[in-house]
Amino acid sequence: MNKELKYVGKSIPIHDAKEKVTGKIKYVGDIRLAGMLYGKLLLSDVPHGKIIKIDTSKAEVLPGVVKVYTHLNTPATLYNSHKWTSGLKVVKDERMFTDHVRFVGDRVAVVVAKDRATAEEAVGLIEVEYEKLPVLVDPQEALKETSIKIHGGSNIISNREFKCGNPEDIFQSADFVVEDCVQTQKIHHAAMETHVCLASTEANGLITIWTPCQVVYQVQLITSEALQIPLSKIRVIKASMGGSFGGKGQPILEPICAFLSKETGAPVKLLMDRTESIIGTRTRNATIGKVKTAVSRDGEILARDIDVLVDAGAYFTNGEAVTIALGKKAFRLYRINHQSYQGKAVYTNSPIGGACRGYGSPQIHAITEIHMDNVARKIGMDPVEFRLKNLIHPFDDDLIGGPNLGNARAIDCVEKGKEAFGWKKRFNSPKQLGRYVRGVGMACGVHGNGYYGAYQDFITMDLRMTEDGELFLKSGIHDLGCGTVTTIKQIVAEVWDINVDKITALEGDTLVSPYDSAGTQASRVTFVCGECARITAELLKEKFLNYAAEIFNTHVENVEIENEKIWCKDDVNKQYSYSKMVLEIRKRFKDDSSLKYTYAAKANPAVYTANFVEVEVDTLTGLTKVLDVLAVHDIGKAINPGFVEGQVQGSIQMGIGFALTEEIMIDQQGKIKGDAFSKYHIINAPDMPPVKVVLVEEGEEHGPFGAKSVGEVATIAIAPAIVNAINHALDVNITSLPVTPEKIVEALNNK
Amino acid sequence: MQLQFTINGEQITVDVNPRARLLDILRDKLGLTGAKEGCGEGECGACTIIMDGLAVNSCLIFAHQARGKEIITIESLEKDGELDQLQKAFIDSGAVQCGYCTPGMLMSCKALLMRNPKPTETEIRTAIEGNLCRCTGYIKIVNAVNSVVTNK
Amino acid sequence: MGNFHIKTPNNIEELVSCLKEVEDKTYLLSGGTDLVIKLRKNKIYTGTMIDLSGVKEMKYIKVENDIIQIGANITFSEIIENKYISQHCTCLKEAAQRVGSTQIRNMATIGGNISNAAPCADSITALMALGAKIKGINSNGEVWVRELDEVVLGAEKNKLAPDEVITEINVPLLGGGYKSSFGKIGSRTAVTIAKLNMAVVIKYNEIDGVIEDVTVALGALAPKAFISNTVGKVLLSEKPSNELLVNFKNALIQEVDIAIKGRASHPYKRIAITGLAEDVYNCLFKVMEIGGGN
Repeated sequence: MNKELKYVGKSIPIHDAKEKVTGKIKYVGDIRLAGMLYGKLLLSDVPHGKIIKIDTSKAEVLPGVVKVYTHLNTPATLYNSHKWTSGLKVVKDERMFTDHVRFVGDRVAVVVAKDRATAEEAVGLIEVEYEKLPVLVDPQEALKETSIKIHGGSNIISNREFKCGNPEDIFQSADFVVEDCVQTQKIHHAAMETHVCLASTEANGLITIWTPCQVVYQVQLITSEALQIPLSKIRVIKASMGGSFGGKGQPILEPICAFLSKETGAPVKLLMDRTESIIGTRTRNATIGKVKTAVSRDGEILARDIDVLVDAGAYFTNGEAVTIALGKKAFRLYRINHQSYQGKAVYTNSPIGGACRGYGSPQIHAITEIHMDNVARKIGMDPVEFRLKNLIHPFDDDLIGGPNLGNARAIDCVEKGKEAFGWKKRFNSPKQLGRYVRGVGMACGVHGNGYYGAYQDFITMDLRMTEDGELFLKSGIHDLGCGTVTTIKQIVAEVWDINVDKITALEGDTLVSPYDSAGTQASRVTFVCGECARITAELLKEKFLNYAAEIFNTHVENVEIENEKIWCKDDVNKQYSYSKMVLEIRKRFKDDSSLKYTYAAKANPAVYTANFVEVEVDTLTGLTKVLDVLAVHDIGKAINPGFVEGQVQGSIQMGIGFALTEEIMIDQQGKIKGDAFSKYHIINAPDMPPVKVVLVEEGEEHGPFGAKSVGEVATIAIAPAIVNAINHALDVNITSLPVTPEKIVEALNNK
Repeated sequence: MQLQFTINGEQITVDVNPRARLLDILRDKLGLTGAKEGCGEGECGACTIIMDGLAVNSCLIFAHQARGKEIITIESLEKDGELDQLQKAFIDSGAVQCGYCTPGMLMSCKALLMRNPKPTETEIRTAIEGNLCRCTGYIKIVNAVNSVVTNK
Repeated sequence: MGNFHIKTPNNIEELVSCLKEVEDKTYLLSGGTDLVIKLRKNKIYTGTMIDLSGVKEMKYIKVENDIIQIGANITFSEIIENKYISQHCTCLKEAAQRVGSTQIRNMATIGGNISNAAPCADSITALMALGAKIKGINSNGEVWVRELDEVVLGAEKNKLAPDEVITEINVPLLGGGYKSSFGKIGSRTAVTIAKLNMAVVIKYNEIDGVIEDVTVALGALAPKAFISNTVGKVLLSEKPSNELLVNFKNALIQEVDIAIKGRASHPYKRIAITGLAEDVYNCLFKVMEIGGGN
């Protein structure tokens, strides 16, 4: 297929842009159903304790309050909200409302009232008496056998190892061995829409849940488990999404909201405010990473050992999955024949970890890429050349048995970036003296394309050509604001040569959508779901052409399809519109021009990025300004380059915050400091640098039109690149994120 | 209490709880759900509306403070089915992703252009310093406003 | 749902009669940007709110008797745009520019900012350096004038009696040769709470090149902003020089050491303040070298 692409590769606006700029689009918070009640949660303000007494009587008598729920009158069923598909083995330690609070933000009660203000007021009237328990917030303390036990058993919830070669032997004889310890913090996803859910129960017992979620089938599953009701009694509809970044991946409010609606018989909306979203949902897991590299005099990495401690927070969720995901990435960026990884995850009395854009990649890359620069410094080598010497090559194998890396263009990314950024000159330019000093830094990153090789990864799509010549696609996709719907439409449009506006692509609805095994997770949507859309469209087209051949009384090779017309090459008079052909097929063959197809992922290639940045550090105030960012991406093929740029620019904003300002800070008493936007600073417009995006489009075999993922990989290299630039500017080795002004001043003091 | 003000060109009287915020009245009483609550403390700007020609956080204003004022919300930018040029520019520049910050962002930019039709890039960034966006990195938003400025 | 009442005086007379009925749970509302948050956070459902924003006599900026009179209802945006303030109180303008976001500055008032008395309030530091006095009224209609320092208790408390309201801020019109500058350090460039702020007002004799008068105010180092005489003395009667800048910085470090030694923020602030010192110092003396004007 060497035809020039007409729809793929074009930057067209997101499908619902007009509803969004007019403010007409309805997010769940904007929906109001007749007789709707409002729920308001009470979250624990105690980091660890047992509820001895809970008095809801004052709240219950407040006019307008319908009911108050606590651990005493809600299901005690344990579940794990991370479980996205049946059969996944998980540790279940979470329940709707607890009698044993384990962090500031744990769910204690919910008030249901006739309006939001009443619900809020009533929550303040609930009196809780706690038996306070000792608090454990330090993950290193949690490793000790003597530490207090947060869930009864050991606090160590995962202990995983991966290894290739014999690193131990190599370390004995290497020219240089460099060691670092890098720490990363908990961050908040900071989607502008806080967590929200709406549920309504019909007379027949069917509960409908509207939620801005990432996996409708996961919401259905968890709700079913938590409420102990069959899947058939739960319908989940993916609602307009005001941003997620992984934060709305695990169902948090949904089972509770469904329960409240079931109990009251009324529609119930459950909405969190910003503080609740920060402390009471999910966070990026904090990590402490010890990394040790053996390197030869000329810069060849001989062996590496990585030891990561993951702070899972107060509940299990994906503590183990992220520890694994994080470790596997360490084997897919550089050619290191002798490498070992040990990952442990522990409980602490702190906010719960969960999926967060990159799923462990930002952490492992902070650990290894900051360290890479330190190694380069120790051996006196340019960090770019050091990386180039060691990066993987296209179609390399994964040395711990993961899927082949595919058309892995890591070296291209670095080479292109090096040129476009003017690295050599900028890296070697003499340091200025004085208060403001500049430095440059870079980092690489690798991420995946779905679950192939680890978990089930398939999706079913149902495509139908309607009698008015338009295409109608049903599938369980979820647009998180990244443009998934438009991307899928562009892929289908390319196959059919049809205007994108003539394609309707529905989003996830468990009652209507064919099954999808994993939802919007793991950077799988464009690569796996997009490929399913392409093949489904191709197969339907083939069916259509075959019928057309019979109708035109010719061989199928003689049937042409272009510009929403189908005709016979032998006879120009035989030209139909799509619409006419659909009707003709119905008439002649009693068949519908539709097709359902299940596609299972066939590969999980790696996707690469190289980020280059320049920073200016004020050596007195410790404030860092990011001046310039270049992001090079191994994208395979950009289906919509405008969306790709948007993903990258947004990822850089998130990554700068991770590097410099963002932290959900938890003190030794378990109190949370950054629990509001006034105290949790994400990067705002005046501090956002220009971001130049360069794409390497070399294609990938199993991606639709060669496309690979971008939304997660784009946020993983920026933070270490910034830290490396700061270390370059100041000639220090800061290894603790975020690099606050306080840490910079301290590092300069210690120099 | 009874409250009178002008909303999107129409003078109205509504009964409000004295403790209610303007944002609550817009969303719950008037059905104008374009303005969003993202933080409730004036940090994110998702609730931005224009009051007497100035961008303000409707989450930090008691409803009664709007008495006698002229209020414009996102719902009024489109006139007779025709999008405002800022709205068009947001679409064309790819400045819209999840869309949650978009109404507030647009109102901040509209307020800026009402007072200053030719802002510099720094002035644009200052106008939206109180509008947070997690999707776009602001770049395409600033581009959108710039494109309106240069087309004038 | 609790009981909340609003009073909306349209003039001073009506305001005074509202003040006569002040009780425990009476809240004064100016711009609202702090009060809305406070009522919600502290779950206050009953009380009375006196909305000052309708009092026309509190919304002006004028110069009379060598005093810049700023009505308490003036917003930070109005301060920034005012020509008298630009000309005569640069540090107040600079402080106003750094308050909150555009949306906040459009609503938040100077009277409200002072009443709230946050330790890091940017305007208070600037007004303190400028020697501002606060004018107010009580429930008997008695007008009072006090030093700013007497009005602000600090740590988000003021020293006003329950029936007193700030109506005007008086800033002495400084004569020729006076200059001022404000600086702030937060954790972002814009929309950030001050970790440190500083305002310096000087009288500079351009012929002799000598600093003839000086006031240095520091914020976010104590429950409220304060004037540092020790730092002021270092600058007084001196000529701007590199050595003077060093002495200025050292004096500030000492001031920080005294104010917050032992606190977690101490090691950072004692260095950071020297950056702030440079900013303010350069602003004051560079502006002079090129002959004034901002």
